[in-house]
Amino acid sequence: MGVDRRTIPPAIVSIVLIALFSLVLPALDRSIDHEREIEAGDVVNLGSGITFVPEVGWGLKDGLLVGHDTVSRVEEGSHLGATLVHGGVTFTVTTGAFTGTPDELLDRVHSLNEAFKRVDSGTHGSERVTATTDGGATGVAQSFTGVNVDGVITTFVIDGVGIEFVVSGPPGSLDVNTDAINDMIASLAADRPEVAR
Amino acid sequence: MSDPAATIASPAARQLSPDMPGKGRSVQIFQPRNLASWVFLWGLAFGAVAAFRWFQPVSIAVGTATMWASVLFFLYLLPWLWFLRHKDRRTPIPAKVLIVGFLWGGLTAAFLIALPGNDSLMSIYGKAVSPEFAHDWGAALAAPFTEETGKGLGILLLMFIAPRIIRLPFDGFIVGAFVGLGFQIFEDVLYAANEAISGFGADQVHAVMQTLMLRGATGIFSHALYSAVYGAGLVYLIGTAVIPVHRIRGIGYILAAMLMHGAWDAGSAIAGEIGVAPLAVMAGIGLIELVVILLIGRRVSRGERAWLREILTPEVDRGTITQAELDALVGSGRERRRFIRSAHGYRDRRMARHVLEAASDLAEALGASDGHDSPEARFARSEVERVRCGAAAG
Repeated sequence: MGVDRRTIPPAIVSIVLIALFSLVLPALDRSIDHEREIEAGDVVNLGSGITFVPEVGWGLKDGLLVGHDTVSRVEEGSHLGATLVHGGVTFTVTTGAFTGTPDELLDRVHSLNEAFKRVDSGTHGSERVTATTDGGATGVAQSFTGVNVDGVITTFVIDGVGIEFVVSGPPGSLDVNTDAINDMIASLAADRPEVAR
Repeated sequence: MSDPAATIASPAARQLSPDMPGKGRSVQIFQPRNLASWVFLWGLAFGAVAAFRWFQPVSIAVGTATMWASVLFFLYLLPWLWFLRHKDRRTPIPAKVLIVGFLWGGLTAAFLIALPGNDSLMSIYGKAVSPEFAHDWGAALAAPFTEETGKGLGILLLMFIAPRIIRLPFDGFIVGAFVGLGFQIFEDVLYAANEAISGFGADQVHAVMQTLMLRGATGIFSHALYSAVYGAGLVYLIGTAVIPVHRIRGIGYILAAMLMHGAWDAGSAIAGEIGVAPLAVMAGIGLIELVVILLIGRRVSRGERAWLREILTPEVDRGTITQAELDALVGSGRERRRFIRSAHGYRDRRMARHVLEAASDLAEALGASDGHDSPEARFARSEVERVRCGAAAG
């Protein structure tokens, strides 16, 4: 009992196209290592009028810069993110609508991280401390340490927008970049003066 | 372009060609000798695994949103199901084919093909051109390829699994609509969950309602109708025993589906490019797409009506149904309603409606037996007479 030969071409076409979209394209994407190197004067756009100043020399893997305009307007209420990398350290910013306190936001972040298993179960978190931006906004920061990772999560809430910074890297990698990391977080700003608090 | 109805092989008056559409036939999705069947089931299984791997952590992280989105989008699905079954009322495609098509769209096309395909393609655009380009045009240049192809593969495989069911462009249109509907519903649940996650899981019900308003309102220009056009195009492109190959028309329909999808996704960027409010541009694109889809839908449904007329004309000669009943059965919804209203009194109107339904069953029974006088066809014919006599006696 052989295969019905008429059904072979559609089967092969389907297998090839499924493999193209689910395996080949992701592999191709991973193979392209591309970052936009941050230059003096660059500012990252997080939407809703919120920005921060990235460290010169770091690589922008994902995110939009102020002044590098998009055709489709970044809407008033839109929430953007960004990812920067440097020497094994990954600096990720996520924004979204949030009306609670920075402390509550950090609780939410922990519960999402747990659900998505973003952090090893063996990772140990420190006490929460206050973080402050140059503009005077206050947030909450918490360091975490694991066998293979060091990191810090910092949260702010500005005018109904929750902002989460996650910085992580191999043990010791954050220490040599402490000033750059703190400067970037402190540069967080809202372009509407009345909303910065 | 010639009328699709005219391209149908013309069978002898009583006995239909074995090549005629086999509506009413039963179909097995698993066919050991059919490689398309193996790939289809393999794709469904891998799609289910991919969907589970996505939903499992999400349902923990934003369980309320996932539950509400599933319930609300299931309710949103019901009028669509009614609408599509109404469109396919004359000679309905077996539910089994539509259900597996729906699942292919929701599981395989969405989670196995489109999700990794879109992410990687948009990322590649960002790296190869610029993040701004990817932000503006990424979705419009990814989704028409990944999503329409993913859904189209389901239609393609079903054409080879159920070749006696999917024979007319209208069949491809209906199967495509169900594949697209599956994609749309699962994608809507995914969007609602993502919206809740982007709000850090704080106000999940609000995130779901926001998604429901946006996606529900724009759903009419979405996957179900693009894939319907794509499905009709595939039937023309590949051809069936009933429809000869029409490469240009087939490719034209498929490109139209992809173009409509791309234009809809690019609405915001087009608005920015020409300096017009995004809402106005989206409304304009939506209106044009609606007209195109309606025109294509009307065109392909003519083929189905021609098939129905051909298979039931001998029944008029035989006296089972009248010419007026046949005309109403193959006519538009308005013609059907006019015929029913022309009957005098409630009882006669009800009888007219029941006769049309029984005649539709007779067409299916005849289609299933290639026009032969099978026991099912004889029973269906007796039902037409019973409905008519029962009403007269009552």
